[in-house]
Amino acid sequence: MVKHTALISFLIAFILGVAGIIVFPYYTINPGVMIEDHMHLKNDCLSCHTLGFGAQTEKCVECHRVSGIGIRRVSGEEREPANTKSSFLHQSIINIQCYDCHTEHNGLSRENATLIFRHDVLSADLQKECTKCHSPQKPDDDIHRTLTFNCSECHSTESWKPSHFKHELLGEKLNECRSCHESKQPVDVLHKSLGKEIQCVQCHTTDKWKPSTFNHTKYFRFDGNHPSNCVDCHDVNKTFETYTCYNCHEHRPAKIEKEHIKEGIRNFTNCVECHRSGDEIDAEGRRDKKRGRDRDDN
Amino acid sequence: MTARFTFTKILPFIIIYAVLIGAAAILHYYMHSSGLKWTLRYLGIAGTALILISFFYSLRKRKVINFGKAKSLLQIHELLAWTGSLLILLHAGFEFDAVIPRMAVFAMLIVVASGLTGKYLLKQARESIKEKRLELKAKNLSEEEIEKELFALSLIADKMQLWRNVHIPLTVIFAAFALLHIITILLFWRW
Repeated sequence: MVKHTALISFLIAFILGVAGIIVFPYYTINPGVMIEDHMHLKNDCLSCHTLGFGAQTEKCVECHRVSGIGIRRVSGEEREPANTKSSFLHQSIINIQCYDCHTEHNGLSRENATLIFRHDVLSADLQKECTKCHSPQKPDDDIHRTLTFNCSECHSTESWKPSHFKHELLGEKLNECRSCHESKQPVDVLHKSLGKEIQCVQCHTTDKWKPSTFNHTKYFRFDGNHPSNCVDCHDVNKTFETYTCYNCHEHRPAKIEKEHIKEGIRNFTNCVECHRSGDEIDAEGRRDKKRGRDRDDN
Repeated sequence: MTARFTFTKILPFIIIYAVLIGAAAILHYYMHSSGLKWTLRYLGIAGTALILISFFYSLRKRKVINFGKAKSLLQIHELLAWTGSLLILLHAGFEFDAVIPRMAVFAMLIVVASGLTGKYLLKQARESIKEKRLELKAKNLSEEEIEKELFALSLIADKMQLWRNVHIPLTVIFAAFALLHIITILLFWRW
């Protein structure tokens, strides 16, 4: 009894379903609203679909001829004005497969029928010539105005930002940091005191601003008794080009003068000329090299 | 009093049904917002597979297969059918554009409700027979007399048979629409 009821139920449901699919395919199996321009095909699934293979490009191009995309409408009427960008794009695609970028049953609007554009459908060469399609989008700012190389050197096809600016592309202009970064130059005393002849790259790299490569050891080496505390030696409100060792009670002018005169050293105003660190032995070595000019015993 | 008693008995089954709908709605929202929307397409296949596996119980009950305990397979049937229904609801996504898949989902929800009703009836039948047997034993009735009395309770078993007359046809209606949906997808989708 149950078997019969089940079989009859199945057959009724199945036959009604099949009949519905045949008579009203759009209402029975269509997965979503079609775009307005395709609505006249709504009950003719096979005009776009091949049974077992879905919507194949071969069927699309029967109406949408690649050579006419952007230039002529499906009806054959000329587009006025022609969409040259669309035309160029579609004719540049290698092995064109409509479903790579387009879909259907996604709403009435044509925009809904276009999915995200994949740049990899273009040839490798064309992928580097972004301005063929994106010319109006090139920024008209100080950085981009002068650049002549391809966008793809810094930007990806996925997104404009973040970019990976390669400074080496600037060639001879690599050291002219201020031409782009003028507004970013620090206004602290140290940087303000630097002349225009000093280039940022003398202390900083193009990869990052910090840490800088400024080598204080070249002038004086820090140690436990001489820590890297700027104000100990420099007047940070004026300039870093001058310094004094007399801010420390250890180095009182009278005491220093006495000790140097005793050693026969008369020119002792520029301490770091001999004392490149707090190490007395280090100073001895330098002093020996300078003998003959400043010492009394020469 | 009786109404409250009955409601308390059916409440667990209402909760199981509500959890199915609620979990599908929450998971559907989560998968849409977390970029997992593309997986929903495949959940239909997984859900269908689970429901098909759950039919081992039906095969065992009709002695088409001989392995497994019917009671355990019934529990597995309930669990897999519920989980499969959840996956199919997620797959359907509460967006019913076409009649055939819409009918399949509605039929599935009715089958789940019917299955829960059967579960309730079975539980009631077991409890009634158990209670009645204890009651009759307490009256020192002979085994023959007990069986005679229990025969009256076979009405409940009849209810189960009636329930089967509804549950199985509903299931095959669901199967018919699901099959049509699968066939049309195989024919029109680009795999």
